[in-house]
Amino acid sequence: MFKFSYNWLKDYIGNKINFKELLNVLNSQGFEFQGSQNINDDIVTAIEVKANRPDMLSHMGIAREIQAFYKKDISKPKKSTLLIQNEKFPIKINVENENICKRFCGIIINNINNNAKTPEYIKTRLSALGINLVNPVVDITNYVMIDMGQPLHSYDLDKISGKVLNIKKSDKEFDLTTLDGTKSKIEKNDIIICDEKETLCVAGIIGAETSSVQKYTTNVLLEAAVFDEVSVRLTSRRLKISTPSSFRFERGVNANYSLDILNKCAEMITEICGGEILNCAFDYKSQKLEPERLNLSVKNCNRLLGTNFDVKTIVSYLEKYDFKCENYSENNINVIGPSYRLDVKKEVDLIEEVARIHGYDNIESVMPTIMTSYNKNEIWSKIDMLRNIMVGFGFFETINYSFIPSDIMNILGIEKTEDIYSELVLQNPIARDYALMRPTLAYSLLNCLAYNYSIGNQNLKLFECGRVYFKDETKDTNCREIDTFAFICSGNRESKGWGINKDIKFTFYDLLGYLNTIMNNFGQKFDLKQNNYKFLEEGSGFDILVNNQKIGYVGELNKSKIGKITNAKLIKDKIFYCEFYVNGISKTVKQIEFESKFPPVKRQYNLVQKIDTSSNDVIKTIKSQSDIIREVYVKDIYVDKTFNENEYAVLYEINYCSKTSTLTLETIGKIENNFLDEINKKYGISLKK
Amino acid sequence: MIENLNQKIVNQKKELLDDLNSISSLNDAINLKNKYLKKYVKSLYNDLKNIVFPEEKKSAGKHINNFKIFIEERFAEIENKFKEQKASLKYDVSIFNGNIKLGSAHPLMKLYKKIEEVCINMGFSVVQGPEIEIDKYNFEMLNIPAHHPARDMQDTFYVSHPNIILRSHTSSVQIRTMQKQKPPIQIISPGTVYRVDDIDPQHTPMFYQIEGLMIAENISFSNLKAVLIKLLKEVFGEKIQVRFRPTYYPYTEPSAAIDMSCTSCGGKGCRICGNSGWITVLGSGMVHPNVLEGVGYDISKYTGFAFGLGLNRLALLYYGLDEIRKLYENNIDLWNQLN
Repeated sequence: MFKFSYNWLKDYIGNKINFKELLNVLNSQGFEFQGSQNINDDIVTAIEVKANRPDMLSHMGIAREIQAFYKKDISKPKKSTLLIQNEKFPIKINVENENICKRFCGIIINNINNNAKTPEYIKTRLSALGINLVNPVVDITNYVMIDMGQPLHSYDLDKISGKVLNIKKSDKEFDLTTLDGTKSKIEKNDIIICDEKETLCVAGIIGAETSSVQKYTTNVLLEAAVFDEVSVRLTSRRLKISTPSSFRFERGVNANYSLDILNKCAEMITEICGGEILNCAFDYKSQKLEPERLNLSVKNCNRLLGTNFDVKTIVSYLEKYDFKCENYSENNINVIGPSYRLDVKKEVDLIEEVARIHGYDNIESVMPTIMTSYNKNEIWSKIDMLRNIMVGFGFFETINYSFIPSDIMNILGIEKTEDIYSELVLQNPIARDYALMRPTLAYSLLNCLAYNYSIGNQNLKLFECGRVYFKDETKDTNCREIDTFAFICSGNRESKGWGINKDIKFTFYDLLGYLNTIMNNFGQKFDLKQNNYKFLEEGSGFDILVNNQKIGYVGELNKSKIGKITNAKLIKDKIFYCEFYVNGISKTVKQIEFESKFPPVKRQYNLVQKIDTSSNDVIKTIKSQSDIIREVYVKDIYVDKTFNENEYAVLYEINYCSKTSTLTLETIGKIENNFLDEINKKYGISLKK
Repeated sequence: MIENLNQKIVNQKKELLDDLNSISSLNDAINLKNKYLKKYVKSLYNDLKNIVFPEEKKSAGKHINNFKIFIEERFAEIENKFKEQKASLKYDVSIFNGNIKLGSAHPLMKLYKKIEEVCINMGFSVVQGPEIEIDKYNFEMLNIPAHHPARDMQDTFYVSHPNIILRSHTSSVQIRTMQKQKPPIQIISPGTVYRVDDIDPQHTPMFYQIEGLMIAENISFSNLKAVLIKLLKEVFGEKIQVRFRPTYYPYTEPSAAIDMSCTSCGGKGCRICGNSGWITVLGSGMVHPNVLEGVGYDISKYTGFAFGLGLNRLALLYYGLDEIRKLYENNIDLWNQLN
């Protein structure tokens, strides 16, 4: 973001440009308007400047950007005429190498008047932009930076010990008290500027307390430098110090104008504070300052934009933005970018400039004709199917954070040896409660259920389709992610009213009912096998197996384990939970298998059965007795006082139907006797008297 | 005599059938029934007395009886019809059994599905990739080298320093796809992405993103415009206006931010669009040659565009939710209102 003053900008573009129009131009060029504020007779405006356009972080920069639209020539900084005499310069300046510092310019002003005051217009403008006023020399260096984009620094010349400045990477760690009064830890490889004795500056970021220009300073060394972007950035981030200088350096500063801008600053200081500029300046320049020379092919430009520009149009566009176009032919243009456009490095960058000035909205839209083969996403369509089923059941979908409390394994009693145990913790979580990449959706859905109870939503049916995460060294990310589906329910399945005589609570068999219906809808066969998860009530936990592979689990959540979870204690009813991996199931196309023109007969049998007998085995046995037994269901189970301790009653319903004849009482009676005999022999089951 | 009587019954039956058609209320029916049973049938029985021969008398008596039963049955039918109608008028249709209800998909998914449907119809395939990503796929191969200032925009969660992170956008899926597949490519990559942000009304550390990619020979900016205008109009309606602004992403050049006219005020300016009349919905651009070269594509042959949108902010607008964090609080009472 950059804040500019409209009055200040008028120094460059004159009075005639309407403010609103100006904002429109900036907006259309990619500098989004973020807000403005009237301050006295000025308007301070914030625009968004993305990381690629550091040249826009100054008033001169904005003026240059919009000149294309107003046919104005924005004045460049006046060329410095000072003698460059690095050897004779009163301070011996050593730059370690051009990798850390592309340019370093120094100018000396002697005998400034320290009673001078910062002029009103500078004060007003800097204050309007929220920049603190310090003293005339510092204020003017700040002013010139905001004006032309080159960060500047001033030293009290007399405090530079040994008359030497070394610009180098630090070779040790030490503490430094910076201008803002805080102590910072300088580490190896931070770029620092030091004299014979001590460190005067963290290069490009902030000065140390000792050498700064104070009220009593009379001799000043002014510095305009360009430091390595990455180093400034790393140090600034580590120290958590961001200054207007560091903000510019880490994005990139044009090294071509450094000396000219420094000279302009020196002249301003002498105008305001008196003193004399020493006609002997220091200038260290890297070899790498040559402007970019690029080749732009007209064909490539039109191919990428879908336009039909001729070479002349393209040249005229680029020239508006200060690009020099040389030796152009019908299909080829040699372009030299303006030195301040650090972002233009490739042909494609020039093409963007052409599109920008032509106007994105003026490029015609044309539908492409391309043929690609559409690939269905299998996991995605299974998730879609699951979502549709659950919505039909009356469940609500939730989306929860992928990170859960770091101590959740402990709270739920999930042991290291268990398959849903995980230690995949983020290194920089926003809080401990959002730290572990979840290995199960159970916590998320429970938490969501508890939250809803706490705000008065009860009798809930929730589900989620989300990922779980595990360490896995065989993957390139060292982690395995599995699309997982889960649902949870608690409270009333049916509430009293409309023919229901009393509230009917969810039971374990409802949980299995949902699971079976889902699986049946996919045509997926599965088995359940008792497990030992401690966060499930004893005896209620079962693994879901498909082809003997575990794909998930079901059970009733254990109230004694989940009590520590916020609001979970509010849930008085039983909580039922199921989760499985989406890739563990597959969809089979079903076929109609039974059709008969003869009427079916339904009969119910109330059987007394031992608790550890599997009703599914009983059903299989009954079915095996005759082809005429089409289906056998369990309709209900119940216990009453007349039963022995390990017995209960199971109400079976049998659907008889023949494909070849109408059933007679005799036929059914015979089959009945057969299977009753058989299950009595096999399981000791008898009809309830 | 008997001929007269029979003729009378035939005539009266005819009359009855006509009369039945004219009945419009239960009262009509009762009145008519009286006319036929108390008047006509009575007079027929009177006539019967005048018949002398016993066989004739028996046959005529049977005839009258049948006629009487016929009358009674017809009227019973009609009266029942009216009585049923009367009972049905007692239903209070202002109420219903509220236990019959659907659940609901999450609002983010509802909106996603709308967008996905349009994309699939335009020929995009849906691809997925890991949320825990390698730095290379999330940043480096997208032309965002280490220490690039653009990384500031996307403060990243680390699973292990410095290479394993939570993806900050689903562009990483595009890189993975391009590495596996040669052009033409036409995909969208939806999914959850992560950026370090504390949870407050307008921030969450996680959100849902859809990114799209189309690469083939000679795909141009002009194609980008056509596809994305079509996409937005299909999702938000033909009436919306769309504008393209230059912006910056390291992985596209030229890059364009796409605004649509505010769906809430139609472009006049309101609270939702911050009085500008426009809402930024998409980021897009022509895939940067560095990215294409990085996955081994011949840049003299192939060009393409990419686009991305964050679903969460859009969902707020679309469903009138005020706080972005509420999308992950899952208050069922709110979701229920969208049903």
